[in-house]
Amino acid sequence: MDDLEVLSWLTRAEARALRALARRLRPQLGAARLLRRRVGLALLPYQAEGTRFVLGEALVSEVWLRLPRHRVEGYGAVLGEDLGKAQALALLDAALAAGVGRGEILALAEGVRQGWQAARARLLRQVEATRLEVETL
Amino acid sequence: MSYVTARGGEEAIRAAEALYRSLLGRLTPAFHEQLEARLPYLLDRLMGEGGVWAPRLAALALAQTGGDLYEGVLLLRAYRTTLPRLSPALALSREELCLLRRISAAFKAIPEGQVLGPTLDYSQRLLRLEALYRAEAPPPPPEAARPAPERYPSVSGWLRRKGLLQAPREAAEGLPDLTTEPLRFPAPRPLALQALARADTGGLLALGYSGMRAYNAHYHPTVSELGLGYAEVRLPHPVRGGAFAIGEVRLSFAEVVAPAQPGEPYRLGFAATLGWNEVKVIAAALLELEMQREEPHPARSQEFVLLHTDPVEASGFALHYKLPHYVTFLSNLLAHQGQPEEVEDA
Repeated sequence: MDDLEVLSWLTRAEARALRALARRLRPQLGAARLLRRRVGLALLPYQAEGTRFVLGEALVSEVWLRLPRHRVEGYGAVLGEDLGKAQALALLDAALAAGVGRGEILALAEGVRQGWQAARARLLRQVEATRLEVETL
Repeated sequence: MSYVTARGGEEAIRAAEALYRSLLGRLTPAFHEQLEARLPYLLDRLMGEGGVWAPRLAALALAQTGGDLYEGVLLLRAYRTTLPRLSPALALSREELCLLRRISAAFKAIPEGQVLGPTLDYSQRLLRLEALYRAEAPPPPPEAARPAPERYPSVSGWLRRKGLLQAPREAAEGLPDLTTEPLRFPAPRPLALQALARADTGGLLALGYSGMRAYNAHYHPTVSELGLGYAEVRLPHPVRGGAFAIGEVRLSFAEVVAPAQPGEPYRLGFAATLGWNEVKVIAAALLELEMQREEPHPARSQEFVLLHTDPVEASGFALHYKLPHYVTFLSNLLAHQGQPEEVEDA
């Protein structure tokens, strides 16, 4: 799992779990300098047969920070209005870049991945039960 | 039109708003959470027409307006104008959607088959009156031994390979955006598809229905593919490069096909919208097909369809008629009756 994939799974984690892990790693990370912390809109382009158009926008919270002690930056973004979760994600992203708490972060991401994939597989089994097999009389 | 500035009425306006809010009762975070969890199709309609994926804000807009959809869409669209634009997400595409519902009315044996997904199609529509008196939990849905595929091949691509469908229309350059530029006609296809994506469901349905009925003798489009599912939103990472997923949105799309001329390949109409709203995308895709035709029916006029189906503009214009038009009305009255002395005290 590369770091971007780790981040992708962490965005699906409970905000509480992300914040708890970020708090635990905070002493090793040192002070963080916020570069950006805001709620805004991400354009959602849609590609349909060669035509690219704007399907709409999504509300996104994003945080970008720097850890001067480790000379790394971290970025976190999540759908919706949850700057706390985005900031925890940015801290964990910076921690990954600094090589701090990597094992714990990967373990959290792996747990989220397994849980999410199990739930999605269950949903898709329920979808499969609706498969339409018809005959033309 | 003539307008007049009116003064006064502040107390009445404040009292009216207070009365409106008191009749709606208390708004609580728990209520918004309930709305978000229990009325997803209503919220999807609101977000689709608002053009913004923001379920919690949509729930708030719905609660704050007592379920008045046009007011709710207005609130969402107004709020979005206060927000900065972040980096655009990577383009969503048909091939990357995780579909929970995928059906075709054209062929029963499309590649990878059809799944009904969550739907009331073919079910009896009966009020479950017993739920008025006691809690009712739905039975757990059955599960197949293996999961359905997440992704399916495009039916239009399959039809095209068989020579049944016209070649794709030429790709337009850039990514024009209705929220930053005006709609001019003839509108390029990207702007038309965006306008349909955020159009009023009822407006599209009415115009789409007009195209389906009396004006279409010997012309019966077919839904070649209808899909409801999830699209993963991916943002570029500003430090690492590359992109990562920040969550999923619900999305619907429809493709309809109809013969162009006898013996020629079929034409394709397409529409997609945020949220699960299949009547909207079917009507919109039919209109996209209609707008390619030249006959002088309103549903075939791009300008007529796109200008009259924006929910905020249409509802705003309808509602403005209730606001003071004293000068307009008086001048109409004078012109009509030609008796100024009788209306002097109006």
